[in-house]
Amino acid sequence: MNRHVRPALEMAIMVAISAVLYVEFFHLNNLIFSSFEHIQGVNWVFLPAGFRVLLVLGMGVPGAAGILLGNCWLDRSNFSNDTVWLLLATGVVSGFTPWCVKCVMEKKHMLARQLQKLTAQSLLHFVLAYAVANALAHQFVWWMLKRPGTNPWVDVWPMFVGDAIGALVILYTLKLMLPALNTWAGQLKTKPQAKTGPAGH
Amino acid sequence: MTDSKNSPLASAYLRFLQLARAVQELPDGSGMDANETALLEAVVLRWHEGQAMTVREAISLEHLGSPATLHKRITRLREKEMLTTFNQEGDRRAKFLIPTERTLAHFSQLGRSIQQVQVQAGA
Repeated sequence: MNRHVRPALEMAIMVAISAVLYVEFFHLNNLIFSSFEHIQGVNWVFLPAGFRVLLVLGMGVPGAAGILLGNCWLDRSNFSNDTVWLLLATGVVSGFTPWCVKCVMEKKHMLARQLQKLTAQSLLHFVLAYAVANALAHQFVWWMLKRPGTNPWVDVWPMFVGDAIGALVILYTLKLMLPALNTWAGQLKTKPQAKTGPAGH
Repeated sequence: MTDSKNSPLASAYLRFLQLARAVQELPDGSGMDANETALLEAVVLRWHEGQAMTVREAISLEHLGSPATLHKRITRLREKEMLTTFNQEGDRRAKFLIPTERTLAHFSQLGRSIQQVQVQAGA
């Protein structure tokens, strides 16, 4: 395959994976934590925030682009001539704020480009910085584009708390699941070997 | 090497491995602080010498704190399943402190880390 086509195809796959994961966890969040909703789009517990962290740190720009597309997909029923810029800007902020935080932390040598020697502490620093930046950026854009019912000074707090808690819930769930995932991956690796017995059975 | 650098999927996979390692290291409340570690080391050293320490002896380790503080510390170490107690047959009064499987695994992990550092320093 052409050496330019293959990376482009892989990036497209990553964008799609990122968008699907973000959308599915958005629905899951609505299912479980709908009672924690402060206003539309602001929740005291927001699980997709954890996926923003994982997808952007793991995939970079394709991860952020997937979140943008996922956000647009979720808001597709609200698209109209009046709202198009607001919804697009919300998608961009949603996907690219964590990416901007990642870039700033890389510049300040708080994160390595390929996450080499990433520690739990620097991951928690990233979660905190991302939660602050995401809440501020969302509220700023909504205030600038006059989203109806927005009260930045009030809404910024539940959004910050929701993003931080959501990210921590996802990271700690992953921490609990990792041993089981490793065992499962190990079993998958050993299964083909078990079949390599004498032929003719 | 070059392949993984050119392939976005391969480098994403490597970054996810780094992420998984950091996620595994996230604090979960079962870690020990420096005071708990010092007490645990004193108890395990005595156990290693073949003379398990009693609770009474442990709370008398003045250089590590007052008896009340040390008693609380022992309770925390027992809650974290790093220490357990046993009574000798015929003497129910003396309660001995011994390390758990978890503690032994913790010390073997430290041993392996030291070995790894030595190998890296020698290379």
